[in-house]
Amino acid sequence: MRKLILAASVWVMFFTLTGCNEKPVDPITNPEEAPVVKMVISHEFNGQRINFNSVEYATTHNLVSFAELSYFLTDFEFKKADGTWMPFAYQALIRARQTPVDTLVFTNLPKGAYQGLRFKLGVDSVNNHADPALWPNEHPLSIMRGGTMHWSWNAGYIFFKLEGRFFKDAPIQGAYSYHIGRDDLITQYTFEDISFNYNDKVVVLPMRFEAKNFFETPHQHMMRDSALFSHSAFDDEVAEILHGNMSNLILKD
Amino acid sequence: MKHVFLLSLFFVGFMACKPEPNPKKEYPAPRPVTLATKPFFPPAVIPADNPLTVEGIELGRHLFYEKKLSGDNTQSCASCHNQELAFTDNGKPFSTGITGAVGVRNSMPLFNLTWTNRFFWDGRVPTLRAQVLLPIEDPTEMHESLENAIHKLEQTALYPELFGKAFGDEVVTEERMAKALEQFILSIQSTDSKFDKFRVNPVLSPLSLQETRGFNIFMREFSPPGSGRPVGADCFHCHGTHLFTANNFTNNGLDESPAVGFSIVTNDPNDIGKFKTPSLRNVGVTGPYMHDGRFATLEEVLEHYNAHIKQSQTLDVSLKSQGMGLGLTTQDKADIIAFLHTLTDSVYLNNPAYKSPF
Repeated sequence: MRKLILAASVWVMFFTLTGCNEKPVDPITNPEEAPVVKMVISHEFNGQRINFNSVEYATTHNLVSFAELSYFLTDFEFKKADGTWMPFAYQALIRARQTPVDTLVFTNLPKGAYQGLRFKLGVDSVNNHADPALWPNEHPLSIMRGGTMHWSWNAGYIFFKLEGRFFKDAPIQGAYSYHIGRDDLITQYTFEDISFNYNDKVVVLPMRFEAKNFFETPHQHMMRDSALFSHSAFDDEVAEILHGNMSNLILKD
Repeated sequence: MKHVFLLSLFFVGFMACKPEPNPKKEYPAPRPVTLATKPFFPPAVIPADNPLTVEGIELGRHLFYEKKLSGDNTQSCASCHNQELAFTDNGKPFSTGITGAVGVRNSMPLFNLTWTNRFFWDGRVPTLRAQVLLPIEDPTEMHESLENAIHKLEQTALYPELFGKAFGDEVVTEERMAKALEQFILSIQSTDSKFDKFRVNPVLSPLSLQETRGFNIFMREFSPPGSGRPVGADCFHCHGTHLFTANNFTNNGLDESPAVGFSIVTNDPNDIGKFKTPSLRNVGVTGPYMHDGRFATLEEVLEHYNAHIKQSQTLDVSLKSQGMGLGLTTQDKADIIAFLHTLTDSVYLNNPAYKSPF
């Protein structure tokens, strides 16, 4: 009987150990996938994956929680080995609450060596003011996908939407709602320190969206009655200040 | 003995007269229908496995108005979805079924469902096809089994032929009933309101000054009273785009302890109290309002948003950030309502293609 128990224990131990033994995943190549370039964006606050609605995060001045984080990325360009920038037609609507780690897949990128990547958070002026009903329903700019990301007849698309609640320096729990979007509030991101050879393997470009920077880098943002929401009107100081922080939102991971 | 013989003869003769579906009878292929693309509307979304056809829509229209689908043959879908009121239930907060039982949700309007993706106020059904048969079996509504309903349709002279024309043979099935109803309801479009005409040609079809002012307040963001900015009711965040809905689920501050709502689908406590944002097209004729029909008039609805939002954990942040209310005056509310009436589409409300075939 003792031998039986011993044998069973060894088996349990074996399976427990092998069960924990996950193979390390090579972030750059996966030989089983068709070759493609991917940009993976993890949405975080101070380096921790955002837990929407339920966790409070400390900025310098407030405790905040997140209910909604959505934005458009457009106008992608890859820097070729000769130093020229190659436009790559691609638009993405990121909905971080639904997909905290989002993967943009760049199919049909020409094979070759690249040494940089740039893109914009926002929608260019022509598309911003075009009829959104003209896009196919599956397109990121279609109102069928981003109905809550369009200002109807006012000003085009809401480029960036961050909504949630705050808990400090307020007599009662309050809410904030920041909608950034206006032709002059597009944010350009340029990464000249990204280089990769795209040949016959999957290439993954890991990125991090750091929400803490929205509230304090470089401008310290304090929740107060006059700064709890922004709709990017032309005289909207809150939008101007927060837009100044948006260039630090997406970082190379 | 003579009587028995005569009775038997009568029975055989009667049975010979009873129509039977003929699965072998051949019908020509149904004729495809393409919904017209209207300015400012997205392309219509039609299920790939149920393309619209003239015959499919016609069968669906018959089924929609068919009282045999109810347990006592007294109610059809149309009993609670009156076309003249945008297919809502005649001003009632809740609908009454064949047994006298009263439902718990306000009958929803039917139009432009090619551009929506979840059904019922709480979004608990993902497709229109899955939704359309549920009221038939619901004991508080039409209270009929699908088996009985199919049997009753098979007994008619009309339906086997309509099914044949729509699907190629006369077999009546649940799936075909659902597909035909889906086709008919998807074909119901509302795209010809005064506002639509204005959008296409503002010179030929202008809005009045009051309607224009109402439109601007509707579309303008909220600004705190005293901020120096023009008043905005911030309606467009949820009721924006040319569809006048963002197709989202929202807690709009009706109750401090809100009902389950969309969380019945997601199992997420953050979705408690969230209900489908309805399109505001034809809102002038769809009262009473909200998922439980608690507001009889548009004036009451606007007053709710203006000053009576109830705080709760899942209240939409746009409403929560308005704090003490929108600050709309009586005139502002009247102007918004004047604008909302420009969304009433009399072409759709009177379209003979949507009326009863009986």
